[in-house]
Amino acid sequence: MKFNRKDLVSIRDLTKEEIEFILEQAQSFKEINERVIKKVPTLRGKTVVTCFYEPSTRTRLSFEVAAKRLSADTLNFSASTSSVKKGETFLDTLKNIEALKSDVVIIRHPASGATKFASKILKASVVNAGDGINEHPTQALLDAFTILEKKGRIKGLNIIIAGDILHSRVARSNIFLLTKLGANVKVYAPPMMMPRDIEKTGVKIVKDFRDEIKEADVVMMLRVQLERQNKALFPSIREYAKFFGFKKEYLENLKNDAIIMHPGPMNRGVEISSEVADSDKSVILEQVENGIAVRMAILYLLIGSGGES
Amino acid sequence: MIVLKNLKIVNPVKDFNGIFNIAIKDGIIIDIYESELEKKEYRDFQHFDLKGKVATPSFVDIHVHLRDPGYEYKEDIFSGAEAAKKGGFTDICCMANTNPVIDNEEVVKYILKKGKETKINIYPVAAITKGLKGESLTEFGNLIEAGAIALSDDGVDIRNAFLLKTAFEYAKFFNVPILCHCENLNLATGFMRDGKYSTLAGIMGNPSISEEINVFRNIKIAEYTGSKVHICHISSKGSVEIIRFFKNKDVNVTCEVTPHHLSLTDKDVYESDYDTNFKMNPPLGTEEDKEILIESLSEGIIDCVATDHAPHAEHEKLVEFEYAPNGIIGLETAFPVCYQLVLNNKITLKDLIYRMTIKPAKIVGIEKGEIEVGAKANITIIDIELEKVYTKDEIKSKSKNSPFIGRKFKGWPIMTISNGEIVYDWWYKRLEEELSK
Ligand SMILES: [Zn+2]
Repeated sequence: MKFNRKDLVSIRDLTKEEIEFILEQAQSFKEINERVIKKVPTLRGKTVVTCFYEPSTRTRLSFEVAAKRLSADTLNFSASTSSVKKGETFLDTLKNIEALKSDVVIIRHPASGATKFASKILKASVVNAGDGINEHPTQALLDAFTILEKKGRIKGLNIIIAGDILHSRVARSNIFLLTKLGANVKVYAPPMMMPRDIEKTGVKIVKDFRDEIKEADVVMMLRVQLERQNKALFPSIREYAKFFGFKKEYLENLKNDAIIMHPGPMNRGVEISSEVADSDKSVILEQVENGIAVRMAILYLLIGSGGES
Repeated sequence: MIVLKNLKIVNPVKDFNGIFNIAIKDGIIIDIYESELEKKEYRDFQHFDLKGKVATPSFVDIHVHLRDPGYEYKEDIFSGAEAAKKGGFTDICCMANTNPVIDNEEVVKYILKKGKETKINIYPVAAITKGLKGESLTEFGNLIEAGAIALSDDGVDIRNAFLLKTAFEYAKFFNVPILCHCENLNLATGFMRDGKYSTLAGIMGNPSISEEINVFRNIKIAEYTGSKVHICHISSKGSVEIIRFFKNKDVNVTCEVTPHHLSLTDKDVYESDYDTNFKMNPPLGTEEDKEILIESLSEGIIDCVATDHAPHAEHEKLVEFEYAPNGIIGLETAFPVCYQLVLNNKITLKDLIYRMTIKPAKIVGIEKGEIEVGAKANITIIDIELEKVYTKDEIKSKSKNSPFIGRKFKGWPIMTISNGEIVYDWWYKRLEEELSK
């Protein structure tokens, strides 16, 4: 197997084999993370730039830790969306980053397709850390890694993704990844937060969440952005929690070995009740931990000698 | 004084069977005769052998953005006119969203004056509301007296239905059409058509109803006031259904479709990987929409083709998809793109020519005839066999924002005659170049 891509911009672009290869590689990095000394010299002398146009502590932190454990130098570039819109164009910023002779540029951007745009411009590798409502491929990979770890397989699993699917790049990347690997994916959302023609991407729509989770091996809850209340997208947090959240009463409907996931950060009591988030079925903290291994694997495959094996 | 020789003539109405020579003097077609005949009286005329080529009346485009005054870095009246000539157009209407807006007589006069120097006809479309703000009406009477040909706030729809009703009533008094850009701004919050491909691309979608409900509203108001209404750039099956409904009731409504909505779909947007040259307003529709637009053009429910030529500088388009301005250039590729429909037997060449010449002219009241003796010599020569790739280098427009760059088309305009003068000549120039080699 060879991994010949310059960039990791979307799950949509990846083949099933490439996804499986990344997940395999991540396994060996997870082992490194369990050692006492977690640092390896793999990317010594390489420069990794994080370029975030949206505030995000955890994703950035996860990438930084991954880069540092591989001994790469890291640089941060932050810009608020408003200043970018008024000031320097994205293209000019990219050219400046290029001039820093970076090897990998990790980009989070509020506009869909922005990382694809960057990957066409930059000679350096581009990793998508979330673009608009489009994709968040490393999140989907770490979710898949976590599922594999817990369930031993993805093919044939019944997986429900629930929440604001329309605005969720996590949902999109997960839908593409999990369907590619042969899972039966269902989605659940308030109708105004469901993308049009979503069935045409190969998923089914959940009608009765409480009932259908009985069959589920994995339930993935999505963060609802509370600001969307103001945009007339939903009436109240109270009602959202009641009809679309994962409530503690639902736990009894789950299979014994089912797992509950959440990409974080959680709104406790909104899309997920505290009892559920803290239950033994929840793997939310493992997701965070696995994020580092997956991101190490991606950096290694893009700019280490990981392209071939 | 020229003679265009050995041509097949395709007129929208009157047929010419055979191969003809067309003699032109003082801007008028003075003779059309069978090509075997040698006519001594034209000995002093300059002869152009155009064997195998097709002559049609020159094209008319009632929807062009020339960006002049104010945005001359995107396009100006001269560069826009060069693009028009290359595309076979001699009559173009330019929209009011310039800076300053075409909402006063001075801007109308400026465009007309500069337009005269281009050797083709440029007709300004004046704004309906001052500054295109949708708040108060412009002086229709004075604008029309100054030379505006129609009224439009193209780029935006007028939210206030009362104001639009008033505009229709007032436009009726002056007997000019209102050209409606139909878009419900509360619904149109996305960046491509809402559907399978927006879902796959992860781009917020615009539902087709954002166009359709305002198509209905605007025609309904015009029906009530008894005014002429023309619907710009329709993009969906639903809009066609609504227009058919009103046409069946004999409402005075016409509409246009762009070459890109006849040839591209939301799938192309998806496959372009966020190429902003696939971003336009209205956004590209589905395959089904495209097929119905093509059928309706052939059937005549859609009256004409109009390009919505919308130049944007490269740096404006080289941005994130969501932030990119809407629109593409279209004058130079209008015929080749639409001619593919003829090649696929979706529409006859005769009908296509009708919908690119006499019909659009009639909508805005431009005088436009067929190729016949005594008519003005406004002629486009087409090489229907010529197959070539559209390249960035050949673009005459100042802006290069075309999704058709790199695509191959068969059937290109090669010569344009405006008022008896050859204003664009690719064919002979190339022959001369080849001879000099
Ligand atoms: Zn428009």
